[in-house]
Amino acid sequence: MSLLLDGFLVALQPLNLVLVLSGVSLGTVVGMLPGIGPINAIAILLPVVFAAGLPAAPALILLVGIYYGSQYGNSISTILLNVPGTASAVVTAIDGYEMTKQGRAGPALAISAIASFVGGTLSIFGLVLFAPLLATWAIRFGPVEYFALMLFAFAALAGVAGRSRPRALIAVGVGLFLASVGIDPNSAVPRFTFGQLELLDGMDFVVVTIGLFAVSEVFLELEKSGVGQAVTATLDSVRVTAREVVATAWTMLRASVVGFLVGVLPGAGGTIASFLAYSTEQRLVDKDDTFGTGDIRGVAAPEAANNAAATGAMIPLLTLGVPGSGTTAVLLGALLSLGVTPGPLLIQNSPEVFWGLAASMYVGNVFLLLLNLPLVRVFVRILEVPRWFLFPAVTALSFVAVYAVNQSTFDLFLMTIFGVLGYGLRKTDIPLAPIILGLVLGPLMERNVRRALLLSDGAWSVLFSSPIAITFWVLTLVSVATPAFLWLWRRRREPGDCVTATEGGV
Amino acid sequence: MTSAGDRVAGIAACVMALAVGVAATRFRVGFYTDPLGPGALPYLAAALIGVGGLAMVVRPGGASARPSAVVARRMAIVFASLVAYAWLLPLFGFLLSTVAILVILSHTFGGPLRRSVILTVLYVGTLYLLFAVVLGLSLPVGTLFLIGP
Repeated sequence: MSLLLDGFLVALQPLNLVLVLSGVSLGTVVGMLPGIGPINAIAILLPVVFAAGLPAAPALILLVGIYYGSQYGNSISTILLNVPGTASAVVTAIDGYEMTKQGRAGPALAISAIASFVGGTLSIFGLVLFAPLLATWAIRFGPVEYFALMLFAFAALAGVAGRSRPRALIAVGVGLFLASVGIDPNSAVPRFTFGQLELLDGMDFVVVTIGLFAVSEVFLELEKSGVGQAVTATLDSVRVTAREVVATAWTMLRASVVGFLVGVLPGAGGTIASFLAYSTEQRLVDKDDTFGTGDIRGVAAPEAANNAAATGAMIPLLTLGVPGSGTTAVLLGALLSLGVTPGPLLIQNSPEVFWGLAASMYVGNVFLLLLNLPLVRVFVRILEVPRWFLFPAVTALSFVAVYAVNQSTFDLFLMTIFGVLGYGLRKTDIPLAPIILGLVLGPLMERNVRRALLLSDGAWSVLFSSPIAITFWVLTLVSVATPAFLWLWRRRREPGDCVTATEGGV
Repeated sequence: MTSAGDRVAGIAACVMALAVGVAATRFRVGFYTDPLGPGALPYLAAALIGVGGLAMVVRPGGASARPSAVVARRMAIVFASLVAYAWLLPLFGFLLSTVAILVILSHTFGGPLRRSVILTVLYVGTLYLLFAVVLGLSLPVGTLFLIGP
């Protein structure tokens, strides 16, 4: 506990208070605006904080603030416009937009902010409780265990891809391919550099991420017509009655626990957490069949869950250095470029980073509650910014960020190419997050397996030499094989039963 | 829903897998470094892309429709201006190049000309002040303006 108090001493420094407030406000805005997610915002801001010379702890307080702040913001556009900012708010749309249509947008926004706060804060308790425990356990991890764990992270991500697993495989492959570009650190062999001097250092993940996500979004937006989002909903008062909060209390608590647990698992993340929490609540408390018709609990459950999941996902990121999603992969890239090596030693070696960050998340969630209750009207106005200004404006920010990485115009060309590639991939429904995961995690995975095999003199049996590694191998096999088995089994039992198939996929 | 787009994407993935795999056979080192060598990661990448690509060719799902001619024209404009921007940035500098491309982009998105010019100039000026002056990022001034009299 005294460690957490030290953390608050870091988080409550004036600069850090300003940074956490900026981070969560920015997060709310980018989470709310469809098409501009936290991934873009973090990737664009990283070169900026780097150039501004911010130390690791304040920089992370800002970047992570964007990450959990966006979970609050995405419910605003979901509830008001039925346009989820990110996939993890899709479930919120079911009852949230229904409430808006009934003229209850205010209570929906209020309960969403409160549920987000409950999920967000409760899961920080989980973070400060379990992260140090996991770190003490993971301290025994060697290259063998890390390699098996990273394989599991990839398998889990492909496993939850459901029907589009071939696409997830392609995406992971493309990410690993991009990771191999540049001089191989072990043998000094240049890989896929095409004679370009600029590629010898490898692909910078900031350039790739901004190209794939931000620039491709500009191309995608060109397909749409219309000037901007017209918010027609009337927002009389953004508040709920005490009775409604009490009525949703258990739902929020249960959803927070579900969300947190799902968030800790690699691959799953906020989308699955919110689906799971919603369907759990539907089974437990939906006695009058009101879910889907504007039930306030149907807003509270997914919002508590996806915020808890966002914090839960910080645990494997910080203590193992293994992210489970696109956004946490970008955060891992950010950690590495700030000179912080995430892993079991992070809490010991840089306590001010871990505890400062955890404490700042409490502060950030309080700010977010304040921002999202009385000030939500101000944020809603941002939704009315015309698209002809918004997307060019984001493009200009991308230029600044990409140029700041190496002061090279070559990176701007590269960004454009990745923008076109990202557009093509999105049009064929190939997910982009596994590419970033492959790009960031690929070099670490390669380094670990090569180190392991070097130490064992090339004996492959070393990869299965420890119980922890074997456990991860089994988990990897299970997450690869389970969907295939389920599919075969279902095909034999109930041919053509689509409803069960989608439920199982959740 | 057409499956042709998926087949094309699958074939493209297979071709890429093949290219990556073949290129990786040439990553050899004369001396002994480690049992895996530099080719292992590209091989794994090629295998994943190949398997995924084959699966998409064999069992194509529904791919989305191709963009219309109007949209394709807009995309070509945006692509050309992004390339031109990277090309001309060192010569004309951040302020001029960025204002120019933003006005073009904004027009492509259907923005009214006068308002987009005014907003863009204000916005790019703010960006320059914030990033170059306050945060100290180095943004190109433009060699054109450096050669002065």
